[in-house]
Parts: sequence; structure tokens; C-alpha cells
Amino acid sequence: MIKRDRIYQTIFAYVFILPAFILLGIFLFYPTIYSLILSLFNYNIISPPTFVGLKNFQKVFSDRDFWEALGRSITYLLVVPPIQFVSILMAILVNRELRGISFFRLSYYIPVVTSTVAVAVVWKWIYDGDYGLLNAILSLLGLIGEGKIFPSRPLWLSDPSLVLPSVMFVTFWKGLGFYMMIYLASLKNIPVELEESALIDGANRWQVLFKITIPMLRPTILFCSVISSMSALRVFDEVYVMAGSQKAATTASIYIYNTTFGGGFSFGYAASMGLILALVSMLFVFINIKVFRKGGIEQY
Amino acid sequence: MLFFKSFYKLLKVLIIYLLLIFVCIFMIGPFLWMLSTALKTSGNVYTWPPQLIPKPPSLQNFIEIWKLVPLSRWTLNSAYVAILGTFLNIIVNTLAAYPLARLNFPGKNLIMILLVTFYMLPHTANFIVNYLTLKSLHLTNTLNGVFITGIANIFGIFMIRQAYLAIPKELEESARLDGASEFTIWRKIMLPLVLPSIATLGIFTFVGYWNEFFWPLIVINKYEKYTLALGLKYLDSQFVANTRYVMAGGVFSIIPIIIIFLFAQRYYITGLTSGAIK
Repeated sequence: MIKRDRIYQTIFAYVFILPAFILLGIFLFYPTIYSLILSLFNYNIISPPTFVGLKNFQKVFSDRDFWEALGRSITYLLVVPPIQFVSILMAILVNRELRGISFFRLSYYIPVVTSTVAVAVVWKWIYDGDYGLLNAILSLLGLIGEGKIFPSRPLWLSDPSLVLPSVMFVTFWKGLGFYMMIYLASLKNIPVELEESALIDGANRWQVLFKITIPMLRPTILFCSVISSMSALRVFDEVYVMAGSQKAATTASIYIYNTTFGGGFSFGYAASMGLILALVSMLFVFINIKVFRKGGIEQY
Repeated sequence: MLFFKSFYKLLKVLIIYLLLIFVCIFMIGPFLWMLSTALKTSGNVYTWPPQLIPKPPSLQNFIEIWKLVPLSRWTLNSAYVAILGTFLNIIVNTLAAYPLARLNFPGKNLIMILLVTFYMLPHTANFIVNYLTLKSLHLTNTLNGVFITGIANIFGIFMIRQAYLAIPKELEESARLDGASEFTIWRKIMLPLVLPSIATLGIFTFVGYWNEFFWPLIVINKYEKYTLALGLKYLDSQFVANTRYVMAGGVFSIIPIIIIFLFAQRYYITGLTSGAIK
């Protein structure tokens, strides 16, 4: 009787799991493994794949454009610390009971739920060199003109030295609300007494922020920096829409896209670059863990 | 003394409100600017300095893009992908999460290890292989191809599993003593209790599908099969000189998701925070 129940329960369990496992098998397990294999082949969809061994990787190592693109993806990681810092400040700002506070929290979250394409097209318009809102504000503030910070109207999205930072700013802006919500939840777990007693002992607000609040948030900062670094290294949508195919903004994902669906159709080669990008992102996850592992409430 | 103290308090609240309003303008200002541009007529877009509020506002741009591009078709495509994708996602992941949370069966640990491992591995090259798979399944250039790869989702399984785990054991045991079948226990006791988590997962998935850009860009290359995100990118590259059209398209694509977000924000935000904090 009991044995029959157990067999029945096992069958029941597998029937429930099966649909998810078939789909995960096809669209996650198989591609993760097969992309390793594919990186050893030349494949352009039209003719059958031919085995080339490690040739693709040799080609990657001598491909200057790829390394430059990867360098830009790594530069893109510079958005991570400001996003974390500013979203922590925003979380502290909205972590109080005031009339209308939930309206403010919600409004800060709007950029997160809108599509990156919509966000990218409006920022493209704001950044417009001649009629953009940004340059209008800068010139009203008297920052554009002979002998000023900007001698002429900056071309935010077509000047090679400005395009990547401009797009990075949009990524920063779009991410703030998301991380703010996570930090807000985490702030609610910090005992109020800790901050209060520090204030009574004569610490000022900034000391409390850097000596108590941020160390207490460390586990959350770890979580947020990991996901934020992973998405920064793989950034595609906003760069693709705002910067197009400009070389100065070609990140690794854009480069991989260009070698495949963007017209190159070198699938094996792209798979080997994808693996290198994967290794780099694992490396940065590891660095994040090293930096932020300590801290949190256990420390006190 | 008391006067100064309450004055100081008032000043503090005032400063906080000013900060809140400043950040608010920073976060929704770009969308208001998008709306403002979308409501302008040809004359007042390229003025210096830019006009903040259109005089007079006009819906002309919306009418014109409605005629120029198949906006209703694209909206239906996005809705199809998001609704069907979300529906299947919820079913598949809610089912799979249950045995992993509440039942004992051989192979369970192995399955958990497999899921955790593949959840952590980066998937940067997967899109290439997935495209080849879709091609052999004749799903490229179909809307089904857009959502099928995202239906089974390890994050979703873990999220619903967490909710099943929180249900007290006594509920299940008393039902078992009453002779309820496995299926009845799941259907009548477990499922109703995880509905809030299912709602959270549903909202997350819906927003994700609605906004997705990269994967549809790869799967779809027929104009009439575009989702709104692809359509907006198309508008952006077709009407380089006509910003008003692009902004009208942007407003049009944002409105549905903002409405859904405002209705469902309670679930959305609890889900976001419970995922991060153990």
C-alpha cells in the first residue's frame, strides 16, 4: 500500500515537472551545451557546419575589433557603482511615511516598466544636437558658447567621445527605480535603533550612511551589483537603438549581433565570442562576491 | 525654543518634498517631453528654445502614424505574445514548482542541482542556438517563436516553489488523512494559497514579454509580424526627420504597459522585493 503510494507520487511529480523540463531542455540546457560545440565549427546556416577545432578562438584572439568591443562592454560597467549609490540614496529618501510618498515611489519606477526602445527613442530626441531638450537647457544655463564648458552644441550621440557615456547615462537612469525598490525592502529590515543610537552618540547623517546603513546593506548591494554588472556587460537594446552601428559604441553584444543576424552569419565564430563574454561576466560576478561578501546584520 | 524646533521640522519636510519632486521630474520628465512632442504640430517642434507645452495640442500625429503603419496589427501581436506567453509561463512553472517544493521522489535533488547550475551559467551564446532550433521547428518569423523560448523559466519555478514551501504542513496532512488524492490536495489546498505569487510572476512575465526587443528582433523580420517594440524601432529608422511621429509611436506603445502597471503595482512590487530578500 505504502509502496504503491510512493510510486504514484513519483509518477505524479514527474508529470507535473515534465512540461517545464521539455522546454528547458530544448531552449536552455541544449543551447548552453551546444553553443560550446558550435564554437568549434564554421557555420553560416546555408551550408552544413564544418569542424574547425579551436580556429574560431584563434581568430577571436587576433580580432582587434572584438577586443575593442569587449573593452567597451567592460567600460560600460562604470554605470554599476553610480546606479547602486544613487538608488540607495533614493531608497533612503522614499523610506519614510509622508503624504503622497507612494506616488513618488511609483513615479520613480515608471522608467523600469517601459520598454527600452521607447526610453531610447525619447532620449535620442532629448540628446538631439540642434533641437534637443538637453542642449536647450545647457544653453539656457549659459554653458554653451565661446569660452564656456561646451564651445559648440555637443553632439551627444554622434561625437565618438560622447556617444558611449551618453548611452550609459540612459542605462543608469532606467535602472534607478528597480534597484531603489530592492534597497527599500532591504532598508526596512535594518533595525531603526542602530541608526538612532549612532545619531545620539553624535554621528552626523553622512557618517551614519557610510558607517551603518551601507555596511548593513552589503548583502543586497552584492545581489544588485551582480545583476547590474551582468546586464551592463551584455547591454544591447539601448545601444542598438541610440547609437546604431557607430564604432565608438559597438559593445560586445552589438559586435556578436553584427557577426550573426546583423549580416555576418558566422554562427560558430559568434558562439566562441559569446563564450568569452560569458567567461568575462563570470569573472565579474566573482569579483563582486569578493568585494561585497562581508557585512550585513550578522556583523553586528 | 519649541517654535524653532517645529520650524526646523517643517523646513526638513519641505526640503524632503523638494528633493522628491526634483527626482520625480528627473524620472518622468522624459516621458512628459515625449508626450509634449507627440502632441505638437509640424511648426512648433523645431523651435529654439523648445516649447514645453504644445500650443495648441493636437492628435494629428497619432492619426497620421495610425494610417502610415499597421499600429493595430503590432499592438495585437504584442498582446498575443504577452498574453499567451504569460498564460503558458504561469501554467508550466506553477506545475513544475509543486513537486519540487512539497513531494519526495527519486531524482529530486538531481533536478534541483540541474536547475541551480543552469540558472547561474551565463547564457550569452544561447540565442544563436535557439534561433537554429526555431528554424528547424519552422517557428522563425512566427509570434509563437517569440514567446516559446521564455515559457519555462527557472526564476519563475523558484519563485512559485518558495510560495509552496511557505504553506504549513498540517493543512496537507489533514487532507491526506481524509483520503484526498494527490491531485485534489494540489488543486484544492495548495494552488489557491500560491495565487498571489502567481499574480506577481504573471505581471513580471507580461511586462517582460511586452517590452522584449532583442529576441523578437532576431526571430521576426516580417513587417506585419512586428511587435510594438520592433515597430517603434522601425518608426524611428523610417521617420528620422519626423520626431513627432516617433514620439507618438512611443506614447502609444507605453500607455498599455503603464495602465497595467498601475493596476497591478501591488503584486509587481512585492514580487520584486521578495525575490531579492531571502
